[in-house]
Amino acid sequence: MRQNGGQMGSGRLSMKMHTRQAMIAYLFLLIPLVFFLGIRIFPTIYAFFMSFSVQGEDGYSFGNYVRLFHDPVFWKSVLNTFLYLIITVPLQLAFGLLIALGIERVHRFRWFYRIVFFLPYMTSIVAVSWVWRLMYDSNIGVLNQILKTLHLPQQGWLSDPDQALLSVSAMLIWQMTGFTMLIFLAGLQGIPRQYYEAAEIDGASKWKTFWKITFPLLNPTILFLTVIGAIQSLQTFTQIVNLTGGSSGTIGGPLNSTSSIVVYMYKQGFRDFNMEYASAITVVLFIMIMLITLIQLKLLNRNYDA
Amino acid sequence: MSYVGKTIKYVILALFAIIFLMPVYVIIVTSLKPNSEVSLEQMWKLPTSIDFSAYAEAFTNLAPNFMNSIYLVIPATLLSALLGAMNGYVLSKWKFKGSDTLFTIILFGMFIPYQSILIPLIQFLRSIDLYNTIPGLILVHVVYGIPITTLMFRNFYASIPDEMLESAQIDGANFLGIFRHIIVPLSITGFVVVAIWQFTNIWNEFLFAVTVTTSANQPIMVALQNLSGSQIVQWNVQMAGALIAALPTLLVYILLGKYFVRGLLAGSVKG
Repeated sequence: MRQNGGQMGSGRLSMKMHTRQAMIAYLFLLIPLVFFLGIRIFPTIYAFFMSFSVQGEDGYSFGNYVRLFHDPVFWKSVLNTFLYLIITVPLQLAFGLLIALGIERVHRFRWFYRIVFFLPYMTSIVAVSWVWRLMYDSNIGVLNQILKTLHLPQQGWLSDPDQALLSVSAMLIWQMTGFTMLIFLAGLQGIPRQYYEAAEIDGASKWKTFWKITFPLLNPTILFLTVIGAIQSLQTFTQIVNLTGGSSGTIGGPLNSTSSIVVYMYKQGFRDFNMEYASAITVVLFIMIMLITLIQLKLLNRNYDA
Repeated sequence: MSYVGKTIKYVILALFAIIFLMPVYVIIVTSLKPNSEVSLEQMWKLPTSIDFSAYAEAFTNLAPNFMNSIYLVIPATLLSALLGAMNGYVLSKWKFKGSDTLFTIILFGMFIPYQSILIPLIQFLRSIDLYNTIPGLILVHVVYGIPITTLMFRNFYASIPDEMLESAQIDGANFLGIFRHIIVPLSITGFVVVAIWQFTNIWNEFLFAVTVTTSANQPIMVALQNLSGSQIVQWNVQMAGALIAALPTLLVYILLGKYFVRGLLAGSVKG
């Protein structure tokens, strides 16, 4: 696979032919590439410039960033976004690994379990959010009904500023666990059987086998899922808008308790039409995601070297 | 392994499965009730009689947007699968100077959070007269699908030996001939997996839909969010609407899920 197109014919074809074939290959990539640059790379640069121009003012300045720095709702949204990351990523990895280990060990209905647990990840976030919103509803939701049956106090869930972020997080975990489970299943399949056989011969306990063999060998999988999970949680938007927005709610929950960076960007840019300010928010998001990705890639490389 | 240990494993998995499926129960039961039966006391209960009025109302409201989503998802899925197949083919089997750099650039695009380009993107769509149109959304989804579909196809092609292409080339097959007669027939599984992936993602997508289109041109997910209205939510209608909106991807997943999950496990991990 490493050789290039020029070597494919093992020298039997004329040079002219190869040049022509390479040209065709370039041509096929040209159209998607132009759009890729036009819609993906160029707008990133453009957004960057936009963030330095203040609405209603000429020229470029740090105006938007100064305003961001003094904006309590922005800081609240940044804090919330990190809370989503810290709460959901470890738990979705833990549950995903637990379920994957369980599925590895059962022999019947394996495909059924795989499909059931992967289902939330494949289902529309909007549709799912509304079902959870009904379950969370403080007046008629099933969760409060369960509490009532158990003679426990009713909770406000999404309508309580102290519980709203945790309630959104629970749904995020429920939805992402299927994805982590699937990747863990693939990771588990990649561990050579001989290691387990050797451990068994040595009389190692199940617990020890897990911590000495399975867990270390899953490290690349864990890091991969942490990177993906972190990036996804930093971009959380649809769940928040549908769980706490629209009718009988405000986007971002009571007292902005569920607002994330992207939610705040959406409010600024598409509700209040302050596009320049919103651009500055997206630049902050962009830098945060790039930083986290770079740190994690560094960790990933170190892990492979060790 | 002891019988008890085995039973415990099945019980734990089954318990998890029940928790995972609880929302499914809620959505089905609520959507089949008249609004008067949607109350705290009756939330768990089955409807006294099956009532389809919520479905009728949800369908009347959502039908135009449902069709918008169909017009969006079919061309977008086909185009992005085809583009991914072509890109993967060129980048893995026709390596040329700079093709690895190109691949890196395409992958890098995957890490750019798409929220951060939303505002310039909309201005760009305005300037080419595609803002607030379904073709505009198709364009956005096809372009945004390029990195992931290219990557997926590139992994699938890794299992096709280069010798096969070489001998075809000696027999006089050209760039397109090899693609049509060798690559495509050998990567049907790849096409199925990529198509399901793109179909699901595009159908379910919300942020592009809510920002690129307005009212009459909106896909179903935005309409579902708006279905709740501005006052009290009619939960039976909302649940019926959610089920209608989720149904196409659910059907695809339930019918083909087994092959899809297997294909993902086989194809995605080798990257």
